Amino acid sequence: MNIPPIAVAETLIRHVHPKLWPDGQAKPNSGAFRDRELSVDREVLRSIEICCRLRPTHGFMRLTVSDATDSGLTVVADPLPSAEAFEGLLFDDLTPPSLEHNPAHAIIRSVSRAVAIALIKKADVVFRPGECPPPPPQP
Amino acid sequence: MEIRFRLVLPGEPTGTIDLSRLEAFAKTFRAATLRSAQAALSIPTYRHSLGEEARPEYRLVDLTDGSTTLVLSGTDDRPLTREAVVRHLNAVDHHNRTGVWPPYVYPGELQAWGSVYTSLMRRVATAEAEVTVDGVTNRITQHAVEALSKEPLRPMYREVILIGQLHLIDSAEDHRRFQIATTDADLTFDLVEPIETIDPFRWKRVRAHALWEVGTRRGRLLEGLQVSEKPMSIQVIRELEAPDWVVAMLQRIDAFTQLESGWNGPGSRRVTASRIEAAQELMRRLYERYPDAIPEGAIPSFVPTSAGGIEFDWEVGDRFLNVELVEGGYELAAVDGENPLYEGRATQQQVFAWIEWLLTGEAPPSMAA
Repeated sequence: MNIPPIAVAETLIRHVHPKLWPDGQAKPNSGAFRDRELSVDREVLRSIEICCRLRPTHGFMRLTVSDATDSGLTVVADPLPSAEAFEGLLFDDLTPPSLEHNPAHAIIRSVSRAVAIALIKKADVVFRPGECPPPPPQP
Repeated sequence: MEIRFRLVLPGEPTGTIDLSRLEAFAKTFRAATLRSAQAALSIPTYRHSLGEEARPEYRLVDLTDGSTTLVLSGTDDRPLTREAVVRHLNAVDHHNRTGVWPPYVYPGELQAWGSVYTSLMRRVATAEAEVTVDGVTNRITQHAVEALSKEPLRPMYREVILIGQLHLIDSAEDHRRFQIATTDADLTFDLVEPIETIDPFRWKRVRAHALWEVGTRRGRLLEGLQVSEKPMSIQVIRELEAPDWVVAMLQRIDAFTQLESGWNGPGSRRVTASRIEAAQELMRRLYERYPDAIPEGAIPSFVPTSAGGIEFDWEVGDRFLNVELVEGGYELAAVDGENPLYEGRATQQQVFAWIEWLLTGEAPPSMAA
């Protein structure tokens, strides 16, 4: 399994700690979108259901790659633990998904305060903290 | 009337007390008894005196052996002399039983007594004091001292018209303030306005329309100063209590103390107590300065940062501010619709100028990024 290059039309999921999302607020504070290297998950490689399962108390926001690049930002794939770990895999990745083992991980570089405000306005709410649906029952 | 402070001070010799501790105790005890006497007589704390009433005075009459016990005696038998000490003991007892402070005590009064015990116990976790007044003993632990020192969350304010002399302007960058005194009061105001607007009133009698935080000597101007020929006076226009959203935000900021290192992933830091205090103080100032100008449903929202700081977002109409409290000042971003107006360092004065812009939509401050 090789990590595919990032496409402009892709959607990205940002995990948001509940403390960055004040009660009753439609969206989190812009600080949730500001970082020198802002971590996101590529939805094409990791579904929102898995994100929810890994961080059930977090909130989740969705934005497109073009939302970031239109603001002059760069989005790069940053699979965890490393791109090499996924190179040459003949079969689907069978390692259980986790925060540490994450082929979907990507980073948006150098998000400043003003750009974080722009991103938070563009991004859509997927689930607010505590609103993740419960995982399906095990067969 | 006899007051006995029996002190348990681990590591300290019994039967003696070092002079610096005694000196600090004497100073803070006099301040605290004045605060409690003012509260008992419903005299605002911005006044210097107790009006017609003489200030309660006390003497150190004994320092016992066996354990370190300071024995004080009131110099007169007035109920006020007893009340000035007993009020806080009753309040601590009430707080121990119910978890809340009784309504008759003020934040500044409690903090003044917190300073008394801190002067004696110096934040040693196992230190404590037994305070006996007329045979009734109250135990004051470090837990109680922390509760005393911590201001109750719901501030109360009085809107006042103050006629007094502007006798001090301090423009030092980290302590910008000015003071207006009447014959028996002295209120301190943060100098958030450009100094040129205040300086022409130096040493003049002025009329100040202000908000006074009950239990303190702090005021906030609600409109510009005016020269006045009227006699010095203080007129109370109305009393107001901070609304629920202010209390909720103060409590939210307080809860940041519970965050441990790593709370938002590897490398994220816990928020320091001093940063939390600074954010709560800023929150109070925002409300004090704009009690009627903050639109319902458009309030500042404070969150912690992974770097151990605190910041707030505030959106009014198309205008958006992000302000982070950082070492020695603020980092600020202002965006109008899709147009970034400023991003960079700011002083508190500049932060308030941007908040004026946020709330009014008037011309933004001119700042080079």
